[in-house]
Amino acid sequence: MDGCPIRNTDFNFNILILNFHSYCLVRRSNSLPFWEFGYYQKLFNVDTVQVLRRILWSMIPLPGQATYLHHHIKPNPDLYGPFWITSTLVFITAIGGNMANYLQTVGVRNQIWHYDFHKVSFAATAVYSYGFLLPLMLWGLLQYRGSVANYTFLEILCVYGYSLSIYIPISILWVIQVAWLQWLLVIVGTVLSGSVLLLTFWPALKSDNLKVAILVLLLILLFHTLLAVGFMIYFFIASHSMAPVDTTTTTAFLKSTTRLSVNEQLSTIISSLGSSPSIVIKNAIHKTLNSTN
Amino acid sequence: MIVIQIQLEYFTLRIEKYEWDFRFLSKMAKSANVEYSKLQDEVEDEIPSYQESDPNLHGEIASPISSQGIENEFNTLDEPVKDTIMRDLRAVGTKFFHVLYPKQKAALLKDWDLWGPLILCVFLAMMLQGTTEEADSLSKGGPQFAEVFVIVWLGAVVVTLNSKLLGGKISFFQSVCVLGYCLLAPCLSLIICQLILLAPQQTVALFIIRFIVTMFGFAWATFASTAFLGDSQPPKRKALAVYPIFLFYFVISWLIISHSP
Repeated sequence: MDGCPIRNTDFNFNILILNFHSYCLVRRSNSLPFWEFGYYQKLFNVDTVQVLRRILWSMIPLPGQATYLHHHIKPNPDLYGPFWITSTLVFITAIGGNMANYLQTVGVRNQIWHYDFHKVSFAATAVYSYGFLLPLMLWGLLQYRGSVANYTFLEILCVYGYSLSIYIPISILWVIQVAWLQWLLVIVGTVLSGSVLLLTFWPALKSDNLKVAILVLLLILLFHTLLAVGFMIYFFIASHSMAPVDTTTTTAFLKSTTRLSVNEQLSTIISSLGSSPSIVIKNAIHKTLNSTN
Repeated sequence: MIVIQIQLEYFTLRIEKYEWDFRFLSKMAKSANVEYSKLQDEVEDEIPSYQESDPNLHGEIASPISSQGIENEFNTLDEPVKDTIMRDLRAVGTKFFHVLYPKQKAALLKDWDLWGPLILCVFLAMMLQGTTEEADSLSKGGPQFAEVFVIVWLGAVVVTLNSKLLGGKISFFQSVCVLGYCLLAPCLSLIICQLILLAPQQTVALFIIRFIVTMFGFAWATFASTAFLGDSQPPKRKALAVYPIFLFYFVISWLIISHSP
């Protein structure tokens, strides 16, 4: 008789504890709200080897059953790679752009060359918006079309962030002012990482209407190429940076000081070409030589 | 059946709860122990003279200066302002020394302050800002004062957040303090670069000297901050925590080498 009420309250208490414990367990397991620190800690839960592997395989397309996303990203998409790859790309592009600008202007202007810090702002705007807005749009599109692959936004963001990693070595190499090399690098970079992107998103679009799927894939490739071409033209090609220079003064400067040296250079080139069979080039150079004289 | 199942679940939960409680208690005990030993260390460090010189503790409550040691260390109410400022300055100076000679790791991490980082950051921002006629066009030229300022502070904060998110065991301001103090080496290289830029004719050789000096400052800053912060990470992730530090000092060194009057 005495034990009964106590047992009852004990039971209620037990239920309370049970509820509390299950609540704690659920909280601890996976569903942290986004405003808590632990939520983001989960997105940085990667090791060095893992990150290096993700960077490497984002550059090498492997056709087969398991895509890049399934093979390397799927269990835990991280934000470490995307964030630091985009940040590195911003600064490397700005630094490389300045170096390219210096190489273009060296010896041409007689004024002191100044570096342009504000290339950083432009590069940051371009890269961060590409790396965030495009995944957002793609995710929205996949949701809207009802894709069966169930790619989450974080996974798409992660794939896109890593796909930019190939442009870091490329934008270092873009500094070399050789036009065909620059265009070759654009093609190599776009084809390699672009095809990884296409292979990754093909399973998500496969079940959809074929026209839509191909259109979306083409758009992905187009934007990827546009980023590369835009960066190269804006930061690394001569015409943009030469534009503010007054052309008449430049040509006058060239005529007065460097004509002799230009002629000497051309004649050495011609003598070196003497043994080679490319007579067309030789003729062209002779023509230009005559016109400058 | 359901009742039994609930009971079973309940017991497992209870066991888990006890385990957690035990962990919590042992953690508490450990931290309390650490706190206690730290306090003990501090007391031993700071007032040996007090204990040796004045072992008997009786005396009048109203007497203004009972013992020199305890007055100097613990009562800052009636000390001259000069002493207070000098003590803080000395702390900042010691930290600067430790950054240039990163041997004792605990010295910089024990009590953080942001005075040194503030001084260095303002110095960098003032030296690196572009001239006014460049600032008007905005398409060419160096950064503004505020841009350098924001890059330094935001960079330090983002690098710190990154190491916290990777699971580093270090407090937020400790890390910001270390990153800020390690700017001393790039600041010194900036001073040397400015002195070299005073030369009337800038040649390639001078540029190479500037480049080497800047690279040295960059390497020293990265090395020192890695020595202080690297151990707070699990070994598998050390490179992931060090890379952002590397990038941070790399960008600042780029600003330094590119700066010309």
